[in-house]
Amino acid sequence: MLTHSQAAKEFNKDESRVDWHDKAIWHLRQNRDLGVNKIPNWQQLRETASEIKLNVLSHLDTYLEEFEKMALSNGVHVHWALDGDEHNKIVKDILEKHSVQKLVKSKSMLTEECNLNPYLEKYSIEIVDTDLGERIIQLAKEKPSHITAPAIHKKKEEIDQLFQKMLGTPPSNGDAQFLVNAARTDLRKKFLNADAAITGVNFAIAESGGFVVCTNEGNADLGVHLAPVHIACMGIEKIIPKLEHLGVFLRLLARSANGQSITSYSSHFFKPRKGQEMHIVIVDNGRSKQLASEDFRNSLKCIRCGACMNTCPIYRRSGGHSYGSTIPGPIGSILSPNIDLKKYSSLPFASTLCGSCTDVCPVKIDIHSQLYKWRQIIMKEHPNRVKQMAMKTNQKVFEHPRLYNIVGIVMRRAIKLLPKSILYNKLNIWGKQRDLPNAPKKSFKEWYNERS
Amino acid sequence: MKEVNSRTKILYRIKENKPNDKTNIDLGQFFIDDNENSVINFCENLVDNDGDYLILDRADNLQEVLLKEINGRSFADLTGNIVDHQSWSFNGLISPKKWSDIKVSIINGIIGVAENGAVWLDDDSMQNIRTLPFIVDHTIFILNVKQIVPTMHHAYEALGKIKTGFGAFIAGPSKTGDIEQNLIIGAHGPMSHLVIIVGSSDSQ
Amino acid sequence: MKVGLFIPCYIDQFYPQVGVATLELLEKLGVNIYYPKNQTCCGQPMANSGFECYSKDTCKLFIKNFREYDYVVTPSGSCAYHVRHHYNIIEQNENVTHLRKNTFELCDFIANVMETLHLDASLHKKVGLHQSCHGLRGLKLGQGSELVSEPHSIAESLLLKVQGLELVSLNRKDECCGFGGTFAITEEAISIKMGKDRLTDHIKNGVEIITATDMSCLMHLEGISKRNNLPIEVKHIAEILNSQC
Repeated sequence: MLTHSQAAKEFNKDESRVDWHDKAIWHLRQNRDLGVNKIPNWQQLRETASEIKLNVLSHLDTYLEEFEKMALSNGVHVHWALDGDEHNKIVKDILEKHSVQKLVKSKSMLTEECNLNPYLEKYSIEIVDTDLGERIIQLAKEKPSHITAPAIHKKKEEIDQLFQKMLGTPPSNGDAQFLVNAARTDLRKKFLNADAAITGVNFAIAESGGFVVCTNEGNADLGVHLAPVHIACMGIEKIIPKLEHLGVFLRLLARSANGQSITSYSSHFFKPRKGQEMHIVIVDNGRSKQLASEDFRNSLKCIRCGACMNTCPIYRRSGGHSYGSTIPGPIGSILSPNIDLKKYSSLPFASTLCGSCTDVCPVKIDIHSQLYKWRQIIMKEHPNRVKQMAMKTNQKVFEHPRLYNIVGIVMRRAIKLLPKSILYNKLNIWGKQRDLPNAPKKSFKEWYNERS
Repeated sequence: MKEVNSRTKILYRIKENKPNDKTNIDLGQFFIDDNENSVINFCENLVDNDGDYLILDRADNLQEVLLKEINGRSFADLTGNIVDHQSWSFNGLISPKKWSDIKVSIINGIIGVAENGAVWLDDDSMQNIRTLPFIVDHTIFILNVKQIVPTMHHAYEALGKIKTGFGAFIAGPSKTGDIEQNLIIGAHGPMSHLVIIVGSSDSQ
Repeated sequence: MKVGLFIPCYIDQFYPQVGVATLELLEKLGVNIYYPKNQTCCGQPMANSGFECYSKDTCKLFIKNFREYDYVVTPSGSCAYHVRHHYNIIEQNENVTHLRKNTFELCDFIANVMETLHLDASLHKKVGLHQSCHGLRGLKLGQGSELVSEPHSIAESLLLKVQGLELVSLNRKDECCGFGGTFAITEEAISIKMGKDRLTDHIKNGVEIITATDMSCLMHLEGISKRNNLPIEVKHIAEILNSQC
C-alpha cells in the first residue's frame, strides 16, 4: 500500500484536477458555513451533542442492553458481531434463510468497513448499492472517496462513459440530469425486485429500540419498504439515550455535511411492517478497544457528517483514496490506526495540525490533538529511521545552547557559500520547489550580543 | 466450557473499558425560539429544500386545489379530502410492484418544523402504506397551521412517546448531488414536494 | 513587570530582523524586556514529528531560561501554543505551570496584556494577513471561520492601527499555508500545493505584502514565491507594527 504522501504525490501530478477537487469540496464547506450560521446557539448545540455522546460512552453497555430489550419487544431480531467477519456471516445467514438472491443496500460505511459486498458476491448474491454516488463507484469497481459524497472524485464525463459501458446509455456529454434519470430507471427495477434491503443506522435510540436512517435520495426507504426483509447494520457507538436527543443531532448532521437544514428523509424505524422481518446487527469491530483509551475514545462520538473532510486542506488536495482507509480524511486518520497501526501509520502525519477539523466537528472531537497523540505512539512502535535520526540530532542541538550556536553558524555559512547545485541536491526536499531562506551574516543572538 | 457468545464479550469489554460519567445534558436551553414567525420560517426553509408550499386560509376548497395539483394523474389520497374522484385503492391484492403507477400521493402531516420545513408522518397518517411517499413522483402533504412548531426540539417534545412502528420527517423531494454536485431533483422518488398549510397564521 | 523575549530558532538563524523588530517594538511600548542568551528552541519540531520523548530536555531548558520572568513574549503563535499546550510532558512544577500560563504570542501580549490602544507605525502598502493556524485556532487569537461567534482577530485589529496600511480581504480567510513543520518535507507535494494556493489568493486580491504572526508560514510561502518569481513579499507582523515609512 502507498503511504498517504506517495498517493498524494500521484494525485498532484494533475494540478488542474486537484484544483477541481479542492473547489468541489470547499463548496461543501462554504454551504456548511451558511447553514450553521443560521443557528445562533450553534456552539451550545455542539457542546450538548458532545455531552450526549460522552454520556453514551459512559453507559454504552446498559444503553445497548436497553436498546436490545426494546427492539426485541418491538418484534425486531437483534444480532451481535465482534468483528467484520462475524457481521458478514450473520447477514449472509439471514439472507440464506430467506433464499435472497437480490439485495439492495443504502449507504452504510459500516458495511464498507466490513467488506460486505465482496463477501456476499462470493455467495452469488446480487448486491446493488442504491445511493447514486455508491452506485457509481460500484459500477466503476472503486471505493468511496468521501463518506457523504462517495463519488465526488469522479467527473461527470467519466460517469457518462461509465454508464454507457455498464448501463448501455447513449452518450450525453456528462448531462447530470440525464445520467440521474438513467440511474433512476435502472435502480427502480432493482428496488421492485429486491428480496431484502440493507441499511446503515445514523442513530439508534436506547429507550425505544428504534433507529433513524437519513438520506436525501429516499433510497433507504424505497428499498426497505418494498422488500420483505430489512437488515440494519450499526456500530455499537450509534446509540443515543433518548428520542428527544435526536432534536440535537438532526439539527447538526445535515448542516455540518453540506449546510442543508435537514436531509430530505429522516426515517424512524421502530417495528417491522406487517409481513416484514426486521433485523439489527450490532457490530464492535475494534470499537470497544478504542473505548478503553482515554486519549482516543472520544473519536467514537463521530456522527459521520464529513465536515472534517470538507474543511481539511490536505484531504481536498489529495483525494479520499489517498488515505487507503474506509473512512478518509481527518476522522479516518484517527480511527484507522486503531484498526491497524502499521498499515495506517502514515495517516496521522497527513496533517499540518491546523485544527480546522476540530473546530468544524459538530460533536467536538479533538481531532487534531488525537492526530498529535497518534504520532507519538506510531513513532514509538514503528519509528521512521530517517526521521528518528534527524530528531535525535535536533534533540542534541537544542539541548545544548553552545552546540546550537555553532551549528547555526555552520549552517548559515553553508547556505551562503555552497554553490546552488550542491545546496539544492536530491536530499534537500525543502528546496525541490522552494527556495531556502537567505542566510544572514549574524543570527539574532549574535546581533543582540554585539548590541549590549 | 461453554463458548461465550459475542454479545457477552462485547458487553463485557465495554463494561471494562467505559469511562466514568461526568456529563451534564441540558436540552432546556434550546426551547427559546419564538412561535411568531413559524409559518413564514417553515415556508422559507421548505423552499430552500426545493419543496413548495400553498397557504389556504380555510379548508373549504381543499378538494378543488388538490385536483388542480393532481392534474389528471393517478393519485392515492390518504386524507379523505377528495370525494369526487376515484383514488388508488390499496386492497392488499395489488402488488407493491404496481405502485410505481401511482403518480401523486396526498398524506396528512402530523407536525411541521419551522426551522427546516420538515413534515412528520407516521404509520397512521400513511395508513401503514410506508412505501407511498417514497415511490410516487409527486407528494402533497396537508398540514394545519397549528401543527407547525419552531424547532426539532419542539417537534420531539410534541411527539412524546412514539407509539408508531414507523415515522419520518420528510423535508423535500428526493434529490442528489452525487454527480459533480449538480443538484438533481427526483433521484429515486418524488420529483416534487408540496405542503398545503391550512388555516391563517392568526389562528396559531 | 519583567518580560523575557523568546526568539524561535529559525527566526534567530534566518530572520534576525524579525527578532530585532520584536525587541524594538516592545521597547517602544515601554516593556522591560530581557533576552536570556541560553535559549534555543521550544521543542516543537521533535514533538510534532512524533518524538515528544526527545524534546523533554529542550522543554526543560526553556523553563530554566525563563523561569524568573513574569511573562514570556515570542513572535510566534506556534511556539507559544506549544509551550502552553504541550509542556504537559515534563514535571508540572511551579515554574512550568507559571510559564504555561504566561507565555504569550506577540500580538496577544500587546493587545491583551499591555492593552495597547495606539501604535506609532505606518506603512503605505496593501497587506494580506495570513492567519497562522496555531495562533488562530490554538491560541484563539481570532475567530476561526468554522465557529459561529462574533468575528474578531487580534492581528487584524493591530494592523488596522498602522497608518496607511490597506488590509486586503481574501477569498479563503484562514486556510492553512501547508507548512506544518516536518509536514513540509514528508508531504512535500501537498505542502507546496497548499502554499501555492495561498499565494494565489493573496496575489489575486492585490496583496503586496503577506504578513502573519508566524514566520514559519512565511518562510514556506516566501520559498515558493521566490522560486516562482511571484510579485509578492513577506513580512512578519512585528516588522509591520514596528515600521516607519
